Amino acid sequence: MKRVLIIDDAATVRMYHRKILEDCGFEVDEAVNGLEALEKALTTSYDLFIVDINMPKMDGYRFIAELRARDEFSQVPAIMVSTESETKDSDRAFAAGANFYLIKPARPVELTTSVRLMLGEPA
Amino acid sequence: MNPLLEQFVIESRDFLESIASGLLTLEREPGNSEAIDELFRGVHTLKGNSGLFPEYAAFTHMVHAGEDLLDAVRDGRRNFDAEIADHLLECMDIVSAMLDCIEAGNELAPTLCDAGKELAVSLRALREGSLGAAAAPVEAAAPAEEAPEPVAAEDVSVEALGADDVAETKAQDNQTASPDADADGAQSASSTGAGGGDASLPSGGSIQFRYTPEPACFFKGDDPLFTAINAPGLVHLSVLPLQPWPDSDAFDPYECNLTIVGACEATREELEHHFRYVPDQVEMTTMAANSGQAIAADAVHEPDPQSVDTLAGRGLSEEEEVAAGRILRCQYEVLARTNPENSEGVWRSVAFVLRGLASSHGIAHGSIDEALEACLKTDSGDPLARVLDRMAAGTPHGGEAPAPAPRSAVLRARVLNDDELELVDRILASHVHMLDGEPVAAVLLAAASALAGMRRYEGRVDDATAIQALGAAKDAAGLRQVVANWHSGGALPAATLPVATAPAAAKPPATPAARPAPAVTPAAAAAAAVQKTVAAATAAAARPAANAGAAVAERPTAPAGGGLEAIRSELAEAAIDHSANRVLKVSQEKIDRLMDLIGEMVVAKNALPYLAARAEVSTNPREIAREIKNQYGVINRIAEEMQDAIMQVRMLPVGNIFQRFPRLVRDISRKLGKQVELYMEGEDAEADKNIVESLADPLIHIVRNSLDHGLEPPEERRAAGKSDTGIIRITAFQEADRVIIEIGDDGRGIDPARIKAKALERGMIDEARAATMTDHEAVQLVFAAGFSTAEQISDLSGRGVGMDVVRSAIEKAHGSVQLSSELGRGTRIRIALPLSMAVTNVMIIRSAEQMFGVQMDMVVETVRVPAKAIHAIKQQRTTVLRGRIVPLYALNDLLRIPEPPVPNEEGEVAVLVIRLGEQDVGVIVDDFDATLDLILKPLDGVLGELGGYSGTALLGDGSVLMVLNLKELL
Repeated sequence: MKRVLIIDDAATVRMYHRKILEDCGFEVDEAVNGLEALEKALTTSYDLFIVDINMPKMDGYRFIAELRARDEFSQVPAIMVSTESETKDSDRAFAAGANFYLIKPARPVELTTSVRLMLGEPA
Repeated sequence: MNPLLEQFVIESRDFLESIASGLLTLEREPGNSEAIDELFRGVHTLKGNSGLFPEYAAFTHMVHAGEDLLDAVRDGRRNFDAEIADHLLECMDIVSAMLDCIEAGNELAPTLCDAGKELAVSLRALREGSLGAAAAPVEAAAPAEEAPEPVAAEDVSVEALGADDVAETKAQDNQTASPDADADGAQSASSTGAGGGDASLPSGGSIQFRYTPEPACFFKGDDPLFTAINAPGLVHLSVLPLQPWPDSDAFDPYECNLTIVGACEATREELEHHFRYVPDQVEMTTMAANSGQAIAADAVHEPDPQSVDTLAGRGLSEEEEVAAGRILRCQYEVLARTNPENSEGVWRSVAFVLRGLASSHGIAHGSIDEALEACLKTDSGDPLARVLDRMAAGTPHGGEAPAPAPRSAVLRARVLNDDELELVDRILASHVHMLDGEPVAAVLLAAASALAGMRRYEGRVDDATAIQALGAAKDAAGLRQVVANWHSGGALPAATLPVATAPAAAKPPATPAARPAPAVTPAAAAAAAVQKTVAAATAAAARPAANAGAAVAERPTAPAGGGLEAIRSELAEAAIDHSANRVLKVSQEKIDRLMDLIGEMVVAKNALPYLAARAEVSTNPREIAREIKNQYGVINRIAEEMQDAIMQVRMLPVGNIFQRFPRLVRDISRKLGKQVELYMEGEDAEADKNIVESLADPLIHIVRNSLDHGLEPPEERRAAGKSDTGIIRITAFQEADRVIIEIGDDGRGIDPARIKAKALERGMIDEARAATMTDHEAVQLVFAAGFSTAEQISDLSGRGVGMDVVRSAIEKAHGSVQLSSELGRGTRIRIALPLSMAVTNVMIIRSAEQMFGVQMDMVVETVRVPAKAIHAIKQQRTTVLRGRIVPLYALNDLLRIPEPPVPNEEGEVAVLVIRLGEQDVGVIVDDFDATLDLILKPLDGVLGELGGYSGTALLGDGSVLMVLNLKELL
């Protein structure tokens, strides 16, 4: 089973994403900020990260930059999910090394399909 | 309520609190950038969360306006001031009221939505205020400028929720003069839809809608198709499956699995009105008739350039071409999913659709009929697929043309549905950005990994391997090419694309994407879309300054990839953890204790059937009785411990209700022009949840009184030799089994003379009483019902509901309230409340052969008084206890029971001494009985109006005990 780490400081959003992904048969883990996510990623292997931008302690940009600075994670796709719909925000996400950018709230099919696409796991 | 909504409400309330305190902090220290960040994040997350619930769009809309304002503050475009704080606090008030609605399971009240809308306008005005007039037009123009770029993941539904939607729609509407929209064409395109559009096109532009009925819509009396067909000014309609059709055995015909896409020549308002019963299920996009963003919602549906050319010759508008391309692609999917059982019907339906399309495009449909025949004969969908290919490739008829054989190839790769194709393109577009410039190796690897995943998803594993290899070789250019050629298969011309499908061609790294895209013609269209994206991205990259520069500038300052410890310490200083929320958090220990006790209880309970069996056969009832008593002792101990453990769980710090005071004091003191400093202490003192909650209203009332009547305006304070700033101090602490809360101010105090005068005037006391009253007693008159002293009734307090309400609320929670005041020095109110009222300790008394309960917390003592020690002073019976005169009342008299009190054999009557306020009173009863811990249930309904009883309780033998409310009776 593929394992996805959801990184978001809003419990509601984590719950929403978790439900959607678990219903599709993914194993889901959560972290409340980039730092916690990094700590988790160092001990557990994940197949994909779903990352919020605006979080305390370590934001999403920084998290992805940290991720991409480490060999062991360089191949793990990361999807940014944020309410910011401006191009500068997505540009910055891609510059940091995010694979995809979804605008909150992501439609369930949008989220699951993009996760599946990147993991090469059709339904 | 569903768990997600529940979570949303809980989390939102937490945010409200932190936002409110953040605003107050910021008001004190306007430059505190950390506080601004915190505040912004709170509002931002609140908005983000609410976006999950489209039905609360009004909520999102308003909070979004607040967020934008804060964003301006954060960027330094706007200075934080009291006006902003006022507006944002008001915003949070509305949010709070909205949350109440949501929690109650209701829709948002229309008045709230209106208030929200109004506030959003003023919030925006506030933001604009400092931006200056020049900012406004830029603001309006921005969306129009950005709109044609299909770059970012533009989601229509999100846009519609956004606060800018009105402005944006307008901007797009203005663009949307549809001069070349051809009336005939519009009609022909509508041939696939059921309703014909009006041939005359209003120049106001057109709107695309996507109506996705909820699965259970049929049970709600919805008729989605009927609704869609009757949409005003309908020019195009297609009905698509929402999810791929499941196998027939898994198919639920009662569940709606459709999404209906249509285009209307109508105004947004008209459409909104038409879909007013299903607003949450409809997304709308305003289309610019002659721009590439015609159906911006899904770029993948843009027509293949080839077919555009061909169809363009037939005088079709771009929208119609799009529609036609879309219809064709649907037919591919239909064919690809054909089951042997229903193949004939499917082929007939495909042929039917193609015929319609052909006739509307002026193409003869002989070949379609032939193909259908061929299909039926050969039992294969290929003939129809070939016709499709020809139509889609823009070769309209060509019955004799060499037929490409794409179906086999198409069927080998996975057929992607609309959503998948749309996302593939969006992800590809993301990778265009990701691979832009000179990405580091890790980014290349990540991109390759995701792209390879997508190829695997499409069923092309060798491509995936090739892409991975590109990543490993750090070949950025190669990867860029993969993205650009995703759908098109390299240099092969689009028209012949389907033929050239030799798997051997797919050799890395030159043509990694050589295989055909899953859906043939639309693939070409999609390729066009991607290429367009690439172009847009290139253009964006070429754009010199703002975006890219900003992105680079904003990159983390510290080099990424440092040790975790280093990062942690770097981040430590900024660490303000607000993740702690207000859900009742209980220590593991407390729960473990409960768990142990439950275990014991289960075991203890199991002894009872065994004892019952013994009792049946036993000849020794005394022995059995003893055993039962023993067992009772065990269960009783466990029950008591459980009760204690549960009460521990329910304990809440009183600080929970203190949190609202800073805000209250701020608002009111500003309104009254007074300067006030609020001090709070002992927020950690704990009491039962119910008690803490029952304290909230009385405390607010008291604090308001202090602000309104107690504290003087600065001039008056100065004249009295005090500092300008008044002080309110709220202190909480535990004293034995009570929690004490004191509220003190250093204001003018209560003038006993004025109170007396007022009481006289209202006839509450007589002259004689007024003369003998001490100052302290006079001041207590404020607790009397309907007493209000403010000369000028303000809107804050003093509407006649005064301290009497406070007192009764506190007494309801079995607490007491005391007031002391010193003229010119201030007032102090002391509230004492029990720690818990879950279980009430009750003393049972007997009178007139009936049992009654009296709450133990009122009982001072029980005494037996010899009949001769009772004296009558005037009509009042009294006795002297330890030198104090105690008035006596017979319970039978109070309850209007016509029986005299029964003394015991020694001629003594039983007197229950209770405390009423600061006075002891004796109640004569017949006898005292045991005291018990009981769960007190309030009286319901008509009985609830009986003030003389505070409730009932069930006794061990099943009888009901009426518990007296002696305060009322006396």
